[in-house]
Amino acid sequence: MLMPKRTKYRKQQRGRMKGTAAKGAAIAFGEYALKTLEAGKISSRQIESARIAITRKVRRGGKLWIRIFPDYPETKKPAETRMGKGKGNPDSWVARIKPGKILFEISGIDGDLAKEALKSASHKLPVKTKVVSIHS
Amino acid sequence: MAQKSLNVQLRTETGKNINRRLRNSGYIPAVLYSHGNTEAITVRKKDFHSLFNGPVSESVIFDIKFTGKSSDSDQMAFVKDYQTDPVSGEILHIDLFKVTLGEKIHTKVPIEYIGTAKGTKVGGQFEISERELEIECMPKNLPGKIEVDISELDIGDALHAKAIPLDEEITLLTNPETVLASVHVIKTAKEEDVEVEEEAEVPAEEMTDLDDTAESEKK
Repeated sequence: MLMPKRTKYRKQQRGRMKGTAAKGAAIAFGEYALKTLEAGKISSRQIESARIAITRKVRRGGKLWIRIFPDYPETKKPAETRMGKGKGNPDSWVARIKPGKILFEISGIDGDLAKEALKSASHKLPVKTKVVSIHS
Repeated sequence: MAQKSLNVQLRTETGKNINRRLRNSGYIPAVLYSHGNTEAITVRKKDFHSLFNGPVSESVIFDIKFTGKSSDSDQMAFVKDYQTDPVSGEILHIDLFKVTLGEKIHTKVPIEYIGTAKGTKVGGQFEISERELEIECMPKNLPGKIEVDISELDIGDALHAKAIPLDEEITLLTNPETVLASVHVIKTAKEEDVEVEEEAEVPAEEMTDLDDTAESEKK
């Protein structure tokens, strides 16, 4: 699964996610892409699960680009712990995304198959998405 | 050359509120400029999209007709740049560049790959790296698209920008060594699935690694 090799700090402040994606909102490499319509957090497991869904659908040929990287550490307190006593321990890595961000790109395969593969990937993600192409 | 035309209106008011209202009423705010001379205009959304068959192209030159002005003020222009909404993909603003007939223009032209690569019939995969070429030419010589025959591409072959036959009047601005397309051996999904299964066992370790690093940082 995707995660940073090393980080400067273990935990990060949550901040706010407002507005739309300023970068990574256009198709850069492939022909068809999956674009998010909502802001949210996508975990490294969800990214991996979506990637597997695409490769299983495509089977042969094509090229896939993952345009997001989970570089934000999510923390979690252990089960049955009283509140307080500081922030929890790092638990997983997530990618924080804003509406309009391109998540996956695919090329080198038939358009219908590409759309089908991206749709099956969208079922693995916690945000609303749409399939876009360079032809429209 | 310029058979298509676009009706535009001069825009006196500027600012986000005015432009937002314009967009809601079916118009797109735009600017028409040349060398240091800029005019704020509005374009009807429907008219603008009818200029292109599909996505917006920078290689289409069209007539600009100002509504309410005499025909002397008509000019030619092409789309230099445009801004889109990141979510809906709707066009928010257009930059139109005035064409001066005796002056060379510098723009991007889409490449159309024609045929089926020889290598794909023997198990290779055709991959496109570049879909546009940057060129410089006189407005009358601007091609709408550049057609490239790929039928001779075999496995391991690559098509470079310098290999594209262009007219004498057209200057190629893209790096001649740039790979536009290539044919390579397919990597099957089966191999990847095996990798995935191997990786699936790792996550628990990765999480502990994260905690380990945390403890070492504490020390």
